[in-house]
Amino acid sequence: MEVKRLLVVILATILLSGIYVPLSLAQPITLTKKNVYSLSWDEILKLAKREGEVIWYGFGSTYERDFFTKLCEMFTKKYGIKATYVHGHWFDTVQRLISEKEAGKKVGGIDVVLAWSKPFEMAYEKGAVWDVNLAEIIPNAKGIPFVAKYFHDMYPTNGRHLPILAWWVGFLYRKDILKYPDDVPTSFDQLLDWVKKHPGKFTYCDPNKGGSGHTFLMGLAEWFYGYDKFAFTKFDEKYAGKLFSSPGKYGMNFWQYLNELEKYMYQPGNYPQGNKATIELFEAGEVWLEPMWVSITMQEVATGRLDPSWVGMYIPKPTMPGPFDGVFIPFNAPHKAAALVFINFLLSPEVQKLIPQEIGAYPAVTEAWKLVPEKVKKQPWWPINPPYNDLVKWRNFGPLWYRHADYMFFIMKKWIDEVARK
Amino acid sequence: MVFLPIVNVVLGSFGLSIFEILKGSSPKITLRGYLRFLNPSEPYLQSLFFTIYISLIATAISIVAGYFFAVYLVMKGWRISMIFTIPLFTPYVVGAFMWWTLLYPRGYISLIINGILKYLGLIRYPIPLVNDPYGIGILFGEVWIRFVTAVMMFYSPLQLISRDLTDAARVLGASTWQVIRRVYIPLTKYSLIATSAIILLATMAGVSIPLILGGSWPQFLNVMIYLDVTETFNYLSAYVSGVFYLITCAILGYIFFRFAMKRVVMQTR
Repeated sequence: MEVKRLLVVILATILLSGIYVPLSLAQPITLTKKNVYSLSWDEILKLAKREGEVIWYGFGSTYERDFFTKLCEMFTKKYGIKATYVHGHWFDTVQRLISEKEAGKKVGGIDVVLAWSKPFEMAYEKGAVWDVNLAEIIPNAKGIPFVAKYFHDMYPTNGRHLPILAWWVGFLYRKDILKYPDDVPTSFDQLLDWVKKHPGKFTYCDPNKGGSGHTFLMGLAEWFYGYDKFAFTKFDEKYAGKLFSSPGKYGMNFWQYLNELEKYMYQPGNYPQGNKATIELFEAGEVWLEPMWVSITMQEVATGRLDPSWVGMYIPKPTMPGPFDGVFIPFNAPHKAAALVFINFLLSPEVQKLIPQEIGAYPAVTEAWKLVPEKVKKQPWWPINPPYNDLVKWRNFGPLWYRHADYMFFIMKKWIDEVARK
Repeated sequence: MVFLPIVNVVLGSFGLSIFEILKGSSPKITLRGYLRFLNPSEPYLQSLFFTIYISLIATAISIVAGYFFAVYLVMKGWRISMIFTIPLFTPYVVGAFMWWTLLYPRGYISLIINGILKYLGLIRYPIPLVNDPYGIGILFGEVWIRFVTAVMMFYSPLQLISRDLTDAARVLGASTWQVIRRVYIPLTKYSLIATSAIILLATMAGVSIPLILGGSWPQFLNVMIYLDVTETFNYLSAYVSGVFYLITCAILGYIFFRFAMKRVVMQTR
């Protein structure tokens, strides 16, 4: 009798453990690099709710700060997962992650990081990024243009970084004085002539002090030597040195061209120190044409510093490259499932359609542009870009150039020697 | 702990990391950063000279103006008003931005200065007063803050000088300039040296003012360090620049303590 009872207990234990094992497989306590690929989205969502919190580190202007804080509030309300936004600087955040990696800190305090290409590269190469292909896991990522999903400024992200928006630089011009397309250089080919004909009316931001400056120079270089010279190529400093010393357009090399341009620019040799200083010159009526971020233009109009009747924006031909900035999950994020759900939320139509009107950037998910209200699209800071004009058509059919992070850094460094010092 | 950051900068300038050494990995020493810094075709040496040059000018203006203003206050028997000390409590970044808005092409000071120069026929086009290659903007920002520091530092030693001495000089027929030259300056010369050293060091060490008011080129060396670290991630160059900065400041600090401090103390006693 005793033996029978013992057998029943053993059998029951075996049976129960048999049930428990599949159950435990179905609902892991934590998300790992391996099980994340096999879980369904609903299971990830359940795990996220169990984690209950997500902490997002970002950067940008006060407009971005307010918008990102608002997004966290929306997320908390929708999912019941507490989202907190911390506004800082990408440099500090990435340095912190790298230090934590080197110190072997397995559980950190950041779940999602907003970063552009170089900080992401720094973090990724130091192993401070969660090594998971977000593009394959996050459902809403499928709407991002393919190249932007796997490269950032031509640096291969392998899907570890997902863009959530696209900042863009256009040519900001005085619409009340100049008429598009007759009075402005509609292509880079016409820029030098236009600047010569309008001395003192063009400027660009010091490329080491503001993104509008180095994005403009990157676009200019891609036009000057041909996009194929840069597109997804390996960077080599010696080769870059040779390339930029070789003749491109007008029998000049790139630096000669910039120095020639400088002669006719606003206060030759004197470059505005930052995006803000650059647009201030435009607002003061000192210059009539300059490369400028769409977002900053929008924010300056919104704050009343820039007269909207002055604002005209267009993309010069052949096109202007732009960065798709986005997010990654740190290697030691304490709430990885919640981070995945949060990124999916950032890429949802309800958030993507808000990006243009709230901060003046393009959505990363192209189709979301269709959801943006017409009155927002009609604002003067959205660049004219014939024959596409509409973002969806531009992304689908137009030349969509990207910046090459390494070449851009090369240009920024060399610019001091070759242009500023001369 | 005090020396750890300095040791790290010195090691970093040779391509070594204190953490890597502690981990036991075999380090590779490089002089690449130093060779680059000392290469005249690279921007660093010129940047260092520009830093010293502008700091010296800012110090000279602040010291001369501050000294005479302090003498004036003492002679008149006036006290320093609290309003006058506002620049001392203004964060450098705020002060720099404030000057930027006054000096940029449509700023009030820029319009006034350029208007006068144009009226006098001295210029045809407005001259840039900020983000300029001559460091004019930096000078405005630095002198605004350092002038007040100088006045505050000169005021007390000048007040300690007995009124009998200046009265005696006056009785003997000395003019105001002679009183300053023969009485005030000799009795406050160590205060002058000490204040100059402090102001020079502070001007050289600051980053906010040259970053906001300086131009694309030439740049202060600390702006170069800032850009090397945060924009181009060139840590080696940043470390080497840091070493040269430390050496320059150490030399100035040595001069200050060696020649001034002892005598200042003795004079006060």
